[in-house]
Amino acid sequence: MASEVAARVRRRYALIGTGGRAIFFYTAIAQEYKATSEVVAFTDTNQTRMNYANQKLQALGHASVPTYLASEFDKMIKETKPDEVIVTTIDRTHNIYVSDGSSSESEWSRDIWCMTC
Amino acid sequence: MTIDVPRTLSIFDAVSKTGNNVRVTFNYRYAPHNTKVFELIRSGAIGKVTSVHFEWCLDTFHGADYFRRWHRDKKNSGGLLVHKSTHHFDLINFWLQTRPATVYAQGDLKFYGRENAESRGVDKFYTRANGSEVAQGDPFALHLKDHEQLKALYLDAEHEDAYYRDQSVFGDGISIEDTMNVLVRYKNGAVLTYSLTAYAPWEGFRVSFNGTGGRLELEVVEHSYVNSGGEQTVEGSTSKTTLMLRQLLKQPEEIEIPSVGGAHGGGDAVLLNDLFGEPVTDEYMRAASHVDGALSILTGIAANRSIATGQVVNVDDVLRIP
Repeated sequence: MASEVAARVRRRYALIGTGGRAIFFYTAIAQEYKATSEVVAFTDTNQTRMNYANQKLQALGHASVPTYLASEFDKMIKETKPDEVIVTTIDRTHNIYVSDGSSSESEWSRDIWCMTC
Repeated sequence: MTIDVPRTLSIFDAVSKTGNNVRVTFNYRYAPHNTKVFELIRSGAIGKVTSVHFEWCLDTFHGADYFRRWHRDKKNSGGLLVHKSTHHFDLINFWLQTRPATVYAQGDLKFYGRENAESRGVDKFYTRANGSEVAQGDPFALHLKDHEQLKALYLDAEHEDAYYRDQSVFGDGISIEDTMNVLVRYKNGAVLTYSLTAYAPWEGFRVSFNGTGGRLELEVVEHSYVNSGGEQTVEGSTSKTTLMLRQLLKQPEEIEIPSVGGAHGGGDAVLLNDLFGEPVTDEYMRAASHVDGALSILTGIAANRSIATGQVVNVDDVLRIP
């Protein structure tokens, strides 16, 4: 039923890293999977890059999202409560976000994605 | 997934403490030709696989790009045998449903880097292309101003973190290899010879499987790319694929691959559906976890240890994955 579809909650994704690989994921969320998915936050060491990512997101028809610097990762988790965290940072930092993303206080479990492509 | 043993352990720790899942996006598993290889091996078309010969060519467009970016420092990437070959070693684990036992490797920087350029008679150098007169004459220079997205992501952003996306591939400070050869014995007894070359004239790979029932040979030529430099749906898309099944005592047969366009051999779209779409049962079991991630990078980490020591490395001595 249309009303059931409208009421279904979309899965919430936070993207850590907003470089080339992140574009692949947020583009898919904003386009093919927009009925069931949404981006809820960007985190990066670089504000300019996050601002550009928000520009691209908006050009794809998705609302812009709050941005958090890497040092504000815990704050991002608490404030935006993502269901899943997509990590596309440089390889030596992946484990930091997998650990922090898993252990941040939350009343629900959270999947972490580690990007290799 | 990550670059060394301590970081791998921290990921396993996080998973066991929280019970959360870690998904590793091995997109190459999903490419139709790679899935077809899995299907044929599983069906027993060439009997028991005894050895594999696998060579991967990164060309002077895509391959060179690793030597301009954060990847050029082994502390960031673990080197190409970890960062890039993770996909290839994962394919072997996936295709043969096994895991690595022992690794011997040799690796060198033979083309990129200042010293190699000097030995070829180059005598003009630069650190980064933007603002350099010398870079104007270098066919390997990346001019960020000429690419709208690269300029926005990196040139316009570098004042914040001093990350220069356009470093010279013939500069100093490169600590990764560009020429790598690896020998791996797997727990199921199969042996792999593998090479990765980062300055090839074409981009793609060839893999041959020897089995008790014949040979399977795959050649894939890919469209090359610079990350974020162009249309993402063509990054690594295939321009030509040939899969030959040569069963013993039979005529060779060219196997048709379902044609799926798109990036990374056509695997990206299928992967995205696995990640974001409605869950479906995948008969090929391609979804990968942190365990698959670890088993793949351990081959590269063991290879790095072998390169450094000159010794054969027992993978379980590096890290034993239950």
